[in-house]
Amino acid sequence: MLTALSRQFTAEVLKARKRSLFFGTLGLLLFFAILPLPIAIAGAADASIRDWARDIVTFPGCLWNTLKLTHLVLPMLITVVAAGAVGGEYSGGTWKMTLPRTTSRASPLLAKFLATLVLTLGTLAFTFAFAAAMGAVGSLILGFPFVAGPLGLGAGDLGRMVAYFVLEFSCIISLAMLASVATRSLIGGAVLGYVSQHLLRALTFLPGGWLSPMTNLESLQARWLAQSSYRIADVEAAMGRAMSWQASTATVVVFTVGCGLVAIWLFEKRDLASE
Amino acid sequence: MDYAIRTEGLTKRYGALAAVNNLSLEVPTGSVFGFLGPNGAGKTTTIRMLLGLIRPTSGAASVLGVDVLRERPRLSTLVGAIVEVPAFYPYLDAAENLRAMALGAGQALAAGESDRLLELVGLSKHGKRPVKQYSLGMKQRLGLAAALLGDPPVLFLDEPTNGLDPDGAREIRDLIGSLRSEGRTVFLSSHLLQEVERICTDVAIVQNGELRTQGNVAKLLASSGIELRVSSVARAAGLLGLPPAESHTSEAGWLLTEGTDSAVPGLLRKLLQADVDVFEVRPKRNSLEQLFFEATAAARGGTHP
Repeated sequence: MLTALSRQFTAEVLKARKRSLFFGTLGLLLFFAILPLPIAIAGAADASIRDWARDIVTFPGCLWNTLKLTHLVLPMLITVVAAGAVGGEYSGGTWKMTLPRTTSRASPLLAKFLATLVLTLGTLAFTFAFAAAMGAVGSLILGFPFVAGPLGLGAGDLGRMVAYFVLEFSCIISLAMLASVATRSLIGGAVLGYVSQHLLRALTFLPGGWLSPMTNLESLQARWLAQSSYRIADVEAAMGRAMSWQASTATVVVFTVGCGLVAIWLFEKRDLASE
Repeated sequence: MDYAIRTEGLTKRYGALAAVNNLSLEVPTGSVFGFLGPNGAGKTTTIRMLLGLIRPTSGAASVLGVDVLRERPRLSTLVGAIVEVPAFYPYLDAAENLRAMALGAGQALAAGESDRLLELVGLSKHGKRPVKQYSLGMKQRLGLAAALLGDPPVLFLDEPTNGLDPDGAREIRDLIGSLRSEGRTVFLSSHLLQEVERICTDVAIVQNGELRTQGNVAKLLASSGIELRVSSVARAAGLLGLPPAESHTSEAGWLLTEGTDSAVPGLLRKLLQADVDVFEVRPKRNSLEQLFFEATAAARGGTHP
């Protein structure tokens, strides 16, 4: 089982390396990451925006700026990449080529989940590294030290950030995969997957809405992600109750695993229709 | 007899429509089994059920003794298939596609195996081109290479020569013949009667999801008389004591009479002694086309095109 999973993971990486969908996502994220450079050039040319430019170009400002911008589009991009991995096999008709040879239908789906998670996290890490490099070049242009003083950013902070992204990406990927299996298409999976995120967020305002995974992710974001646009008090007010980080984490994990299990069950149970 | 594939009462219903109805097939091990039927006869649905891609509504099916419904994991190393038009990852080249498909199924791909398969299907020169640039015929060849991944003993080929030019179709037929000689069982779905007649050892004809006939091709098309091309059909018919010539004329100038090979010398002697020239003698064989139209005539209202 593990050997098969490892091979299927390799197959997903092989496909992603040549897939324009994946490179389009990376390109869009890098567009945000390159911004410190033109801002530094503008700051060097116009003294009135020099201080504003310094905050964005130096470390860790360059990372926070990139984080804020990328986070606007990340849920949608991850949904599209995840739907592409599963729904693309339906739309392209390639499931019929591989499924007769697999010992289990759960295994390729799990491999796709893991590969999408690793690749999207890797893409985000690369984006941050690229943003830092652009910030360093921008700092040189502006004539400021790249790291001006103590960062106030420990290993614990970084660990919580990584944990947050793992949870958020897992939840979104799981939801998009379920949507793709349910609709048996790439476009259906992407649209339903993305719309579902917002519907789940809207559930917050209904009785029992504190169970919404999206709102719990926002609660975790407020706690764990530096420069988050959410405040714990606001999120808890929307939920109507205080949620510990443990409770929010458990809610998100249960939802993610639940989505994955339903997707696997549906994938096993349903006929592979003609494309 | 040893059967590689067996189905018993296999049925697939979509609401009130029975795509496949009570189908019982027996595919001998090591045969090239032609699965014939008009469009919409249920050929692809049957293949999909045998591959575990869709679940039968009722009935049972096994491949090399493995129950398709209950033991699907064991089926994975036994079968290779082309179902409908083969599909690939268009942004990958042929070798990468084979690798992605083998790994995607959780199977290992030995070094040089993709090159060997591409050579086998005549795609070695195009192995580095993205598949999105391939013609339908090239995709069919690549589909065959993909079906052969892992060296499966049973192959399901759904219209494998679709989109191929005559040379390409002949190459694929030769390849299927060589696969059979290696001991594989090939389940070949097609609507090309001549193709099936040329390469298949056994055949089944389905229509409206139901089996019309099945059996060994040689037996089904066995000799049913002797045909003679003679200088005078009427005189020859009279000499051989046949009723009016029209009922015994298979085509213009040919006379059809009962009998087997052993009757030929006597017939020739009788005709030549009476100065009726004999230009050609051949055994009368039923064609698969004739068999097909006879088998499917009832559903068309008994008409024979």
